[in-house]
Amino acid sequence: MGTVLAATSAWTYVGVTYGATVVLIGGYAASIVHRGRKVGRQLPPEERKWS
Amino acid sequence: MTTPSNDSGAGLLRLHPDGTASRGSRILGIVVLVGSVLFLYVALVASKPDESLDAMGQLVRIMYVHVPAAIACYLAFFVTAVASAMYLWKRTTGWDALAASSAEIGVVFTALTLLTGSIWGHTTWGTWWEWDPRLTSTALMFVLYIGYLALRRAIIDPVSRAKQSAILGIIAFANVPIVHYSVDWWRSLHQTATVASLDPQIDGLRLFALFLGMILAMLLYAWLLLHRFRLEFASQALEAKGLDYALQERRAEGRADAAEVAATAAPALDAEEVR
Repeated sequence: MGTVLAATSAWTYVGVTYGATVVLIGGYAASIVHRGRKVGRQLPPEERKWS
Repeated sequence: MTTPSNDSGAGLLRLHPDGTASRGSRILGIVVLVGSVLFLYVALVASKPDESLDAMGQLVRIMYVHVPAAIACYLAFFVTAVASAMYLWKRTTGWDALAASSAEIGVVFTALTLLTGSIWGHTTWGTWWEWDPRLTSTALMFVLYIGYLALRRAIIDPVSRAKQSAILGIIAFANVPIVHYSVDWWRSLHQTATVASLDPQIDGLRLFALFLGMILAMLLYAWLLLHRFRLEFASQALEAKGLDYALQERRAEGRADAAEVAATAAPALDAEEVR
């Protein structure tokens, strides 16, 4: 019983770690893409050297 | 009929016409997404828990995120330092944009390193935070680069901002080796580097998960850097345009004032001549 509880607790920590990673990196990536579209709209297409 | 280059491709590879994506960055993004799925499978399902003497059990899976995040922040700050030095040498805005972009991504990865390390610490040491050399120097690194980003926001003149932040970008990097070697130089709760010294304490799928995490973190860093650099480049171009526009406006005002003065002065001079 104790081992099962310990394993459940460990999986909770693992889940929180991976969840926080996805939220932090995913949120940051989404914010960059969103800001890029917002700023890119104001720039003439000929100055967007990457497109 | 030809297709415009910024609207080419189909499905997942179709580009948003206004965004910072290119065909190359879109392909890299897909590689990162597929790699992430593979990584999650290996890290959470396929690899076995640690059952060695000082067993971490399931908690070993936290390491597959924590260590790659730390390596990504080292890489990001290294790129910031190199780009800063290049800016001081070449004085071109591209190097400044690269330094700024990499520093911001480095701050995000450092936050992730501190967060995952704190969770890991709570399970193994029984505390969320300890003023241990590795943790303290990492927190200092985090604060230093937050300061770097704050400095960039505080200075309006682009040339002065680029120069001062380049100097800080180089100085702040001095802390990175301190973070890395802190576990060797001082007594620390944190374990010493085993993978970097080519003496990994894990093997098989656990080692594979760790290396896959590292490769994925570097690819993710590259993808984020591509987008963040283009965003910074576009922002700086807009800022320069705004400055040019303000200068043109001011010059036009100056010309209008001069014309007005000349117009009022001319009849007065004519009257003087008549007299």
